[in-house]
Amino acid sequence: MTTQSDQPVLEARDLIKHFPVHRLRRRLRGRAEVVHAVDDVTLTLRSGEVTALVGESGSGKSTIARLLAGLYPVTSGTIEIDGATARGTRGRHFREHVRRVQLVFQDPFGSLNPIHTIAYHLRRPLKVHGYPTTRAALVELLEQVNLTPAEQFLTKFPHELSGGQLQRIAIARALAAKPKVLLADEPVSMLDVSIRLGILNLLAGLVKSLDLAMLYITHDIASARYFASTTLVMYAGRVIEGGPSEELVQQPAHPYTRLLLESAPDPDRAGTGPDLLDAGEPPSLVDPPAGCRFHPRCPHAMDICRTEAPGTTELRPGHWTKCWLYSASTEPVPAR
Amino acid sequence: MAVQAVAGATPEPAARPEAVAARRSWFAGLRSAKTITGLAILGVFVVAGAFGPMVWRTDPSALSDDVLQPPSGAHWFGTTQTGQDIFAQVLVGTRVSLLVGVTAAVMATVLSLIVGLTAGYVGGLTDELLSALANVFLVIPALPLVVVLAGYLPTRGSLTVAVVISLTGWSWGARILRAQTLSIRRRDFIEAARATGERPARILLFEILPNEMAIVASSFLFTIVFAILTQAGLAFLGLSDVTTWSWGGILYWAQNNQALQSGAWWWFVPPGLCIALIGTALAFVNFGIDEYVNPRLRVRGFHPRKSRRVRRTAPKQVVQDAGAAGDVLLEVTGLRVDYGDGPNAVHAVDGVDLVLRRGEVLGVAGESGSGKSTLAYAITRLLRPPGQVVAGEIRYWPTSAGPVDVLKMSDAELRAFRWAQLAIVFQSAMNSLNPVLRLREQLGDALIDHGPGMTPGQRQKRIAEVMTMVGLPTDRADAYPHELSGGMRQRALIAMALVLEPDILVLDEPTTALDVVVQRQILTKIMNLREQLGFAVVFITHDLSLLIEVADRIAVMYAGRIIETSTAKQLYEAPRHPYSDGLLHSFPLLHGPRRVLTGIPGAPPDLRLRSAGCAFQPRCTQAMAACTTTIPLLSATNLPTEAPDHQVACLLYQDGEGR
Repeated sequence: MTTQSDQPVLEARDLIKHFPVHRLRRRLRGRAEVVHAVDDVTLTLRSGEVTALVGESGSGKSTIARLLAGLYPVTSGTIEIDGATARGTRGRHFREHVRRVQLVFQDPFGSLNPIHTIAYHLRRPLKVHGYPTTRAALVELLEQVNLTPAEQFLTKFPHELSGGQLQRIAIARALAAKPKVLLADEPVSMLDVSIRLGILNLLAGLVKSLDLAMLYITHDIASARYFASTTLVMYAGRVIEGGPSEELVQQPAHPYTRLLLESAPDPDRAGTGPDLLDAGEPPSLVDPPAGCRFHPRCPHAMDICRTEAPGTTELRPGHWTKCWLYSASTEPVPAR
Repeated sequence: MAVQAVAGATPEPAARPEAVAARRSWFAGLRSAKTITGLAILGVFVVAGAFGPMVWRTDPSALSDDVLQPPSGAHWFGTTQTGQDIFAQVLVGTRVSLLVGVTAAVMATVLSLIVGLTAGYVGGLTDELLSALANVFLVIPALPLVVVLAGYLPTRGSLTVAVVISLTGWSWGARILRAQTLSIRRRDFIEAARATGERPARILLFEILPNEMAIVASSFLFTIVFAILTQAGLAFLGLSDVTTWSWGGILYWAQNNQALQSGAWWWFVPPGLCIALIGTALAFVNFGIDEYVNPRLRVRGFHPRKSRRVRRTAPKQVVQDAGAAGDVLLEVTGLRVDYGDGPNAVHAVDGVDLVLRRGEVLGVAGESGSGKSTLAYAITRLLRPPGQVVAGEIRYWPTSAGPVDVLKMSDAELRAFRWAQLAIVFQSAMNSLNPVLRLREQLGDALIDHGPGMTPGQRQKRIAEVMTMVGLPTDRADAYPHELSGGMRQRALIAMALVLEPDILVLDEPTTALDVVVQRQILTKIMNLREQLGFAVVFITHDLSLLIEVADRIAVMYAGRIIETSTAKQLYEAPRHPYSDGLLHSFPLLHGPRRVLTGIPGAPPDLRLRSAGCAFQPRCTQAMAACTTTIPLLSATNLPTEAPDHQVACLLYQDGEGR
C-alpha cells in the first residue's frame, strides 16, 4: 500500500477567494467591497501524509477547505488533482472532483440530516458515485471507522448517536466515495476532550491504510504537531509559515506563529504565561492592512512591513515563512 | 478482578437503548389525545360528507309544508322558512365545503412549495422577484380580492371558487417555506450533501423538503380552514352559486330570511358550529404532525430509569466546619440538582462538596454532561425549571459576619448577593449582553441598582475605571454590543462582573468561543485583576490543560459528581482517578516526545441512563467487579499524607477494596 509520495495528489496554486459584501452597502458606497477571505494560498497534499492548516477563526482556513472541496468557486488560482485541473462547482465535472476530494465537517451534530437514517447517509454517496449499495458495503464502511457491531447503526437516526459516533459516520460517508484526498475541517473541536484522540487516531490510521492525502484544519497547534507531518500557519487569509510540524513548533519563525504558540494552553508552563495583553486582535478582511497583514500587531514591524507584502523565504529545507525579518538576508530574530 | 476489556482499538459501544423505542413509537404522534380527537372529528365530517347525502335521502332543496320547524325526529336540524330539511343541507354542505377546502389547500400548497423552495434555494434575483410577488399577494386583503375575482368570473361553481381561494391563500405558506429553505440551505448537512456530489434537485426534494414537512402540513391544514372560511364568506355574501348547498350558502339563506330575528337558531347554528368544529379538529391534528414528521420528537419523554438499590462505600462524610479556619469563602455541601421530577428525574449534580477559599482560583473540569455548568447555575441560583436543587447547602462566608445559606436567601437578599458579592461571566458574550443598550448603560445598571448613593458623575467615573481595568478603550462606552469584537464583548462582560468588586467571580467557559490568542489575553487579564483585587474565581471549563496552568486547585467532575480534587500541580503530576489520568492523556502537548495518545474509550455518560456503580466504570481500564455495584465517594484514604488536599472517588484507593 505504500506509494511514492513525491508526486502531489492535490496541488493548489495562488488561490484567491473574495466574497462580495452585502449588495446594498456596496451600492451605497459606490464601490465593490469584498472580504479577502483567502489570498495567494499555495499548498500541496501528498498521499499517506497529513498536512495541518492552523489558524484562528476568520483566518480563511475553512474557506480553503470549501474551495478545495469544490463547494465554492475560486476567484482565481488553480486546483489540480493528479495533474488535472479541477473545473466547475456543479454538474459532471464537480461530481468527478468530489469523487476524489471529500470533506469532513466540524459539527457532527449538524452535518447529518436529522430525518435520514445512518444507512441512507452512507448509501447516497455510494449510489452517486456508482458503487454497489449492498448492506455489506455499508457494513464495511462502518467497520472502517470502528463502529461495531455495524448492523446496529444502520437503522438509527443521527439524534440517537453520540458526537463521537456521528463524526465517525461522517468520516465513513466521506470514505464512501473512495476519495484520494480527505479534507477534515476541525473534525474534533466540537467533541469532548476524552474522545478527540480516538477520532484523530482513526483518521491517522485511515491515512496510512487507504493512502489518503489529508488536510487537517485546526486552531489547535498542539494537535497539528501530534497529528500532521507538515504544518501551515494561516493569518488573515494568507499562509505565513509552513514546514515540518515538529520544527515549526519548536523553532517558529514568523512572529504570529510565535504568538500563537505562546498563547496555546501549556500545562508545563508555570503561572499565567507570557503577558500578551497588547497583542491586539485580527484585522478586518474587508479592508485588510497593506503590506504584511500582521504588521499592526507585530512587535518587530518595520517600515517595509506596512507597505509591501513579504515574499517567501526558505529558512531550512521545507521550512519557509513570509516575513521581512528573514527575507533581506539579515540575521534571523532569535527564537524565544 | 473482572477487568473491563475496553482499551485498545476503541470500538464504539453500540448506541443507547432509547433507540429501540424510537421506531416503535413511530406513531407516537397519533397517540396523543389531541390528535386523536382532531382525527375523530375530521373523520365524522369526511364520512358525513362522503356518505351522508346517500343515506339521508331527503332532497335539501325540496320544499315542504313543515315551515320553520325546530329540530325533531323527522328533521334533525329543523326546517327552513320554505320547509327545506336543514340536516340534508348541512350534509351536502359538508361535502361542498370539504371539497372546496381540500382542493384549494392542495393547489395553494403546491403553489407555495414551488415558489418557496425555488426562492429559498436558488436565491439571488429569482428570490427577490418571487418574494416580491408573494409579498404583494400577502398584503392584498384576501376577502376583497376574492370578492373582486369572484365577481368577474364566468362560472361560480365550487372548482372556480377553490381556484380563486388558492390564488389568495398561497403567499403565506410560500413566505414561510422560503424562510425555512433559506435557513436549512445554510445548514452543514446540506453542504455535506453537496460535498458528496448530490444533484441540486435531489438535495431540494430529499434533504430540504422532508425537513419542512411539518410546516408544509400545518400550512396545508390551515389553508383548508382558510378556504372553508373564505368559501363560507363568499357564499354568505351571495358571491358563489347560491343554489349549491354549502355551509356559507345555508347562512346566506338564513340571513336573507331573518332567521336571527325570528329566533330560528337551528337554521344558522349548525353550519356555524360545523365551521368552528372543523377548524378545531384541524388545529388538533396539527399538534400531532410535528411529532410524526420529526424523528427526534418520536421518542417522548425520558427513558425510564432502572431503579436499583445503590450501595454507598462510606457513610456521608462529616463536613468539618471549614469556615472556622477563616479563609473559606464559599462552601458547597451535598448539593444535588435534578432536572425533572419523580423516577425520571435526571441527577445532573449528584452530591457535590466543594470549598472555595478567599482569593483562590478553583478550576472545575468536566466534559459534556458532567454537570459543571449546572453546578455554576446552582451556585448562582440561576437554575431554571425543570432544574431544581433537591438537597444540599451553599454557604457563603462574608468577611464580617457568619455564614449565609445562598439557597435560603430571599429574592431581595439574592439580588444584593448576586453581582455585589458573586458575579458570573458566561460563555456566550453576545447572548449575555443586551443588544439594544449601549455598554455605558449596561455597566451603569448595576451601579444604579447596587450603589444608591452614587451621583451620575461618580457612576461615569467608575464605568471608565472598570473599562480601563479590563482593557477596553473608554471611547467604546457608547458602543452597542454588535459593534464590538468577540474579545471586546467578553471584556465588557468581565467589566460588568467586576464593577461592584465582588468576592467571587464564576466563569463558565468564558473563553471557549474565542481564539487562542484572545483567550490568552483575557485570562491573563482576569488573573492580573485577581491579584490586584483579591477576588476568588470559580473557573468552569472542559479544557483541563488550561486549568492546570491557571488554577490553584482543580475539581474534576464526571456524571454529576466530583471524582477527584487536588492542587493543580498535584493533579498534573500524579492524577489518581483513571478518568483524570485519561483526560490528562487526551490532549497533545507542545513539548516533549511525540508519543501515541489514546484518549478515553467510549463516550461521556448519558445521565438519563444511570448505572448502579461508578459512572466511569464502562470506560475504565482498571474497573473491578465492585465498580459495577458501588458508587465510590470522595475521600483521601490511601493517598500520600503529604497531599492532604488530594481526594479521589475511586475504589482503587479505598480501604478493603482493590489496590
